[in-house]
Amino acid sequence: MKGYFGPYGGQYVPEILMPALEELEKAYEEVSRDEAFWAEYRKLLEDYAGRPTPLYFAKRLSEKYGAKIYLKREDLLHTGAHKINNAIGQVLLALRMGKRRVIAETGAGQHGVATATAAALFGLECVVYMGEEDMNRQRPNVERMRLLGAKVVPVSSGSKTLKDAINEALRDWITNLPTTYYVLGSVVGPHPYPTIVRDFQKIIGEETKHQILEKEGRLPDYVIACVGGGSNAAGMFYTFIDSGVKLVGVEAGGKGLETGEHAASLLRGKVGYLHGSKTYVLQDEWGQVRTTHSVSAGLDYSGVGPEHAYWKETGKVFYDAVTDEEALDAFLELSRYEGIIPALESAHALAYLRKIEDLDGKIVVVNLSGRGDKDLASVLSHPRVRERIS
Amino acid sequence: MRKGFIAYIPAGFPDLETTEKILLSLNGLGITGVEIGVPFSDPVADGPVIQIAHKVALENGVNLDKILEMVSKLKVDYDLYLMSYLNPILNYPAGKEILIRRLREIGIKGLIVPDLPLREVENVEIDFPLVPFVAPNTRESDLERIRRVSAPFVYYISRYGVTGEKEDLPFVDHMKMVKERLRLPLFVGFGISKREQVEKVWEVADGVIVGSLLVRIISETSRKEVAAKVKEKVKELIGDHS
Repeated sequence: MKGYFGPYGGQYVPEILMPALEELEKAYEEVSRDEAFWAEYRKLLEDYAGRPTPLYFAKRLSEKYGAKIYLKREDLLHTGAHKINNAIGQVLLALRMGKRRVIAETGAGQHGVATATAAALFGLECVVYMGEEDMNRQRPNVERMRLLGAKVVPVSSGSKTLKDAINEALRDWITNLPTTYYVLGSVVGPHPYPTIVRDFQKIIGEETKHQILEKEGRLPDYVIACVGGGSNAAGMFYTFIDSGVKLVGVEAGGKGLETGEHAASLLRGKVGYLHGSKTYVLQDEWGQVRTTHSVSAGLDYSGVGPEHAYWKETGKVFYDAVTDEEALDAFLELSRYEGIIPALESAHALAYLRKIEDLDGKIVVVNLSGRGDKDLASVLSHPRVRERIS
Repeated sequence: MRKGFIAYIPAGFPDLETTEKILLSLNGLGITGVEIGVPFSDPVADGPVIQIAHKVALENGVNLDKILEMVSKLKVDYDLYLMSYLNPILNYPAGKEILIRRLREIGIKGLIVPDLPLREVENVEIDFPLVPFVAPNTRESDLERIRRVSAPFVYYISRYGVTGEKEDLPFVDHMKMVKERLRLPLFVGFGISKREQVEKVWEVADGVIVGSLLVRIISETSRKEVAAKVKEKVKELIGDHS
C-alpha cells in the first residue's frame, strides 16, 4: 500500500496537513527523476559537507575484540553528524518548492544545527523547536544554531524533549503551510517523510558497501547502528537489506529495560499512532505516550520510524538495546583506544560490540553517526565517567 | 435566527466532577451538542489552552473508562460526541470493538478524531459514525469522499492553525461553497470566540463549535462558579438573553 511499509506508516495527521503532504510527495516524486537535483545534492555533500566519509579500520579496538572493526566516520562530516545529509537534501527540496521559511525539530541539537546550517547556506529563514530539557543538556548546539541565524524556540509542553518538539513543529507547520517547509530530521512522521529522509541518508550505506568491498573484497558479517527515530540506521541498513549481512539496530536501554526508564520503542513498545505514523510506540495501558529516558538526547524518543517496525517484524534487522552505563563505557573506550570521541548516540552502537558472542575474526562495521563534543558536559558530570578520568 | 451550537468540554479538567456539573448546566439552552474531549499526551492539533487541559486531566488519572462511566449516568437534552486522538481509541485496553459497543450503549452520536484524515479512515476500521473534517485547503476529491459517508455533521476547520481564540473569520466563501456541495450539516470550529463570528457562521453554515474560549473560562474560574460561568458564556454566544 502506498505510504506504508507493510502495515506500518501512513498519514495519521490532521486533515489540514493532507494537501501539504500531497504537495511534498509530488515535489519529491519530481526531483526523484531529476538527475540535476541529485547532482547538486551530491556536489554539496562532497564540497561542503565532506563526503565521502572514511571507512576507518579501528586497529586497537579490533585487537581488543579479536575482530576486524570498521567505523563509518559520519562524525567527520560538517556539523558533526549524519544529519547534514538529510538537511541539505530537504533544504534543496524546499527551494524547489519555492518555500523561503524552514522549520525543524531537534533532540540532541544535531538536526537543528544541520538545518540551521543548510538554511544559512541558502539564505532561508529558519526556526528550530527544541525541548527545554534538551536545551539544557545540549547547550553548545543551542548556541551554534543561534550563531547560524536560526531562531530556537524552547518547548515546555509534555516531557520537554524530542517528541514534544515534533508536536510543536507540526503545529507551526499547520499554521504556516503556504510559506513553510518542515525539515523533519528522522525517518519518522507521516508519509512521505520516512521515505524522503531514508533516501537522503542511504548514501551512508552505499558508500560503506563500496568501501568495504574495496578493503576486504567481501561484505561485512555485521553492520551496527543506533536507533532513536532511526535515520542513521535506516541510511546505513537500506543498501544491505536482504544481502545476508547481519544488521543490528541498537536502542537506548536507559537505566535498564526492566526499570521502564528507557527509550526502546521497538523492544518494549506497542503498535500505535504517533506523529502521523503507525509504528511501535512506548505507551501506557490507556494509549497515552510515555515519557522516555536515555543519557543520549538523540535517542530519547517514544516512537520509531515505521520502516524499522517493518524490518523488525520481517526479521530483516535484529534490534537490541544497551544501557546508559554500557554506552558511557563505550564512549570512554573509543576515546581511549582510537582517539575518537563519539556522540553518545553512536556510543550505543559501539557498546553492542561487547554483546556479540561470535565476534572472533568477523568483519564488523559500526556506524559512527556523530561526534561527541556536544556531549562533554553531560558525560563529564556522570559519576561513572568522573571516577575514571584523572 | 438561531442555528446550531456545539461546545467542546475537556473531560477531567479541572476534574471529572466539575466536568459533569458543566455538562448538566448546559441543559435547557437548546444547544446542538457537546464534544467531550478525551485527554491525550500529544494533542498535536490543539493550541496551548487545550493542551493544558489535556495535561491536567492526565495528571488527575482520567482515562476513557472513567469518562464513559461519568457520561453513562448523565441526563442531558443535547447530543454527545466524543473527541479523541486516534491512539487511545485503537489501543483501548479491552479492544476497540468493546469500546464501540460501549459508545453505542451510552448513546454517543459520533467520534471526532483530529488525527484521522479521510484517506486513512478505511485503514483503521472503526465501525462508528466518524465526523469528517474539511479545511480551507481540502481537495475536491475528498469532498466527494465525504458525500459518500454518513456522519452526524461535518467539522469545518475555519483557518490554518491549531485550536485557540481568534477574532476574524477567513474563508467564508469557501465555507459557503462546501455547504452547497455537502448534504450533511456543516459546523465551523477553530478560533470561534465572539458573538459576531457566530452570527457570520450562522449565515452560511449550520452551526459553530466553540472550545478554547470555554476551556480558558474553566481554567480561570473557581470550581464552585465554573458551571454557571460556562453557561453564561454559551448563552452570550448564542444570543440567548433570558
